[in-house]
Amino acid sequence: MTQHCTMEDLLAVRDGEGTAAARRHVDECPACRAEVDRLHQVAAALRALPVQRPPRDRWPELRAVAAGVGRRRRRWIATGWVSLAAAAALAVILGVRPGRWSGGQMAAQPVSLDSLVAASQQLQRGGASRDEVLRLWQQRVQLMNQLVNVHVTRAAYVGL
Amino acid sequence: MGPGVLTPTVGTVLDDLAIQRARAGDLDALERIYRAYEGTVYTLARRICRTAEDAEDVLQETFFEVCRSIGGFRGSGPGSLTAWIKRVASSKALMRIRREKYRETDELFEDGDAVARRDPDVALTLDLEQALARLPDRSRAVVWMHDVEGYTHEDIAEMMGMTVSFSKSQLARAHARLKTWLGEEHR
Ligand SMILES: [Zn+2]
Repeated sequence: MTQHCTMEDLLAVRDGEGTAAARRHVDECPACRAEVDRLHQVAAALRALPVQRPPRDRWPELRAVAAGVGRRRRRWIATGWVSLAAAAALAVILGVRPGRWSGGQMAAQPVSLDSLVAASQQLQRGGASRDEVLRLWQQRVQLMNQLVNVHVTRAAYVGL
Repeated sequence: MGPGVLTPTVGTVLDDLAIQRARAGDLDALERIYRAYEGTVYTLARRICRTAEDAEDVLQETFFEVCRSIGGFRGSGPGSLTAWIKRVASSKALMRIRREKYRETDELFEDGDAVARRDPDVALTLDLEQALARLPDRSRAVVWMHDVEGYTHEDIAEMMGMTVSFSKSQLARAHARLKTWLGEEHR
């Protein structure tokens, strides 16, 4: 490279990404070497600019939103487990065999909330092999289907 | 308020326990995270956005997202939390740069170096902060993201929806302009 480096070349050399030709030129050319040094200094000066502070405190508004998110999350979890538990309890009380109202396509084993919880917990713990995870997911989906089916059953019993 | 945009005293303020509590929705822990990062996020936003109002909006949007999504945050330690929060803030700030009104004025600027014409005495009169603020939006964003925040051209291209070579050329143009405006003062 007989000409001086372009700004893009100089920046690449500064950042350790320059081409071999650009690096060689910078090694041999005092002007370009000085320019790379200057670019290092500009970057350092930019990093040393003072931290800026927002003119207003935004936390009070954010806190209200964060509180809402927390409430929704907790309500969702509570509602989810209460309805699953209710469905399972009803299934036990009525001795419902899930699948009776779905054309006999479903597996005819009784719904067990414990097995659903166990499958979910095993999935959350991780560490299982791919096949194992797949099997657990299938098990979980199957159990969820059965619980949904119990809901349908219950609706039919109460005449909805 | 001393220098050190990249090194907020986060490590001394936050620990894994606070992060865990924030993930569970503990408001005091979330406030500690907000207090630890508000300066970092606002500074990043203020350097990238054109106005203080935009930067405040980015600050708010960033922490809305942090509060909403921290439950699913899977990193551990303040280092990965810093990286995550900065990434969220960068994306939000760069979104603003991508908006039409910004782009139009940017292109005007690129066309004829409007600032230099409008204000011929600009050279040698600016300090670094003023010179930075004077850069076209996308150039300023690339300089800040690359030279200060340490993102690669690949990261920046992805976040800004541009090519890697565009990011490199924006950085070069920005430094060429800064050199002119700062004159020989800044050596
Ligand atoms: Zn040279």
